[in-house]
Amino acid sequence: MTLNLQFMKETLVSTAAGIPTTLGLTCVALLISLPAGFFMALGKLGNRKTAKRLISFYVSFVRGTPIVLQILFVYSLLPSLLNHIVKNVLGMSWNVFNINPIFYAFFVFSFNTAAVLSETFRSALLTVSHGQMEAALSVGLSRTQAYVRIIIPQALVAALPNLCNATVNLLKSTSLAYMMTVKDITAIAKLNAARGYNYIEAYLVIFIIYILLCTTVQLLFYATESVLSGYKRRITI
Amino acid sequence: MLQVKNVHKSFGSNEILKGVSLEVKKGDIVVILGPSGSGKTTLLRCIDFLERADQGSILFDGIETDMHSASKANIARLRKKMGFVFQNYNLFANRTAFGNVMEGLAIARKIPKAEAEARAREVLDQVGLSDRRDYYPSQLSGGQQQRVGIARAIAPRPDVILFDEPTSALDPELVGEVLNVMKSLARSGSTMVVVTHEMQFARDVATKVIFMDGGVVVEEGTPKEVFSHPKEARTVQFLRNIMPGEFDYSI
Ligand SMILES: Nc1ncnc2c1ncn2[C@@H]1O[C@H](COP(=O)(O)OP(=O)(O)OP(=O)(O)O)[C@@H](O)[C@H]1O
Ligand SMILES: [Mg+2]
Repeated sequence: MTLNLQFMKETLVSTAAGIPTTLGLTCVALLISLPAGFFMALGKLGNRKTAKRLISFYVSFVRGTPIVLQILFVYSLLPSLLNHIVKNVLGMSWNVFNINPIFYAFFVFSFNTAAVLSETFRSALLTVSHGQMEAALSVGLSRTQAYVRIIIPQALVAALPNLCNATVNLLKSTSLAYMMTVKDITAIAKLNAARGYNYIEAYLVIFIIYILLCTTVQLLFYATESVLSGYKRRITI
Repeated sequence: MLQVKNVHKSFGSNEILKGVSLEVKKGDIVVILGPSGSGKTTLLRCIDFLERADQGSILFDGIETDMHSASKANIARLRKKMGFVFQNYNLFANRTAFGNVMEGLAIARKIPKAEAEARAREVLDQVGLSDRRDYYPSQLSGGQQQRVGIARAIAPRPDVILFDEPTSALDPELVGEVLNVMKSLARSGSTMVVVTHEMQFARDVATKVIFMDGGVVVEEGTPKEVFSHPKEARTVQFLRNIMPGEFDYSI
């Protein structure tokens, strides 16, 4: 068997057009789930019982169900549900099925990543000794000031390795967006491949694209970590 | 200047403080002694509101505040009159020595930057760490970290500084440098409440010694009274244990 190099070149160009969609999905999901995950982590460490229980339930729900199933659910059930609400409850004539499917993708990936990040942030916040919070209060800082100036910056550094993992996992899982007819890298490759039955070539191409993207993400995280964790280094002479 | 009255504190069903009262006058060096678990740390933490007392009141400059029901604003106001030096230093790991001192000045008290920086340099100088200003806590020895802890506590010129066993986490050879800083603070007229097991420090520096056991003040007086003529059997027992050989009194 020989690889169709000409086809691979063409596929590379056409799938590259999907990179912005893949990265866009990743970034939007991160932008939503970073603060959401952070506040859920705070909620879990706080002392409100109901909030704690709700968050735990949500996290175990996300963890206990395959993302593919969540996609099937959101993509087939949510539109009908929304349609019902819009038509029968709100009495509007707006067509729910015109919603760009990418919004469903935003929803699923944020929903998933927020759960992962809430755990990441929770364990990261726990790595900062409680004594520093007390010291901050004792010098006259407010609780919010202590969080913003002392606790969170350290927790973020502690969270970076897991944050990197979560981002890479998110980037990879956006390849499932094709199930919602979103035209990301994987979706375009599948379309091209189907046309001439060049599956192997098409998949090899996006294989390489994903590796490059994920490696770049990891390098960015390593660089950030080495900049931000300067205070941890001992001076070695 | 500072008076704490009838402090009670329980953890669960375990009553740790059973009505402790304490008076501190300006310039006093009050040393609190007592066996492990007697509630010394808990008392200091209640005074600085790091722990919420179940009952008790704190009288600062004539204003009395109920310790159990104190509002956020009152707590913030009272905390700014006090400094706290922790057993484990609790330095901000993401701030340099200088940055640690600056938080209480520029951020908590909104002192103008130039003035705050001058004061931060001054106190770091006072604890002998001018040359370590830009070091992070991870780059300092235990003794140096605790001196930064002291600098951070004294920088805003609090009315009273609370010390919770400031030397007990230190290697023996580093204890001296911290005690020296505390002695010079005492000489310069600071008001201090010190929980410590350093008997020599208590004898030399204290203006008042308080012996606590089982959540109550058992005995208090001048160092001379408490060390040379203790009245209570529990005090004698404690002093015997902590200074064997040196202390052979019977009542
Ligand atoms: N947060 C807490 N929860 C439950 N129990 C506590 C808590 N803090 C302190 N205690 C208990 O209160 C008692 C008194 O503790 P405290 O730290 O005040 O004693 P101490 O006199 O400072 O002892 P040491 O000399 O060992 O430091 C101990 O028995 C301890 O187990
Ligand atoms: Mg203690």
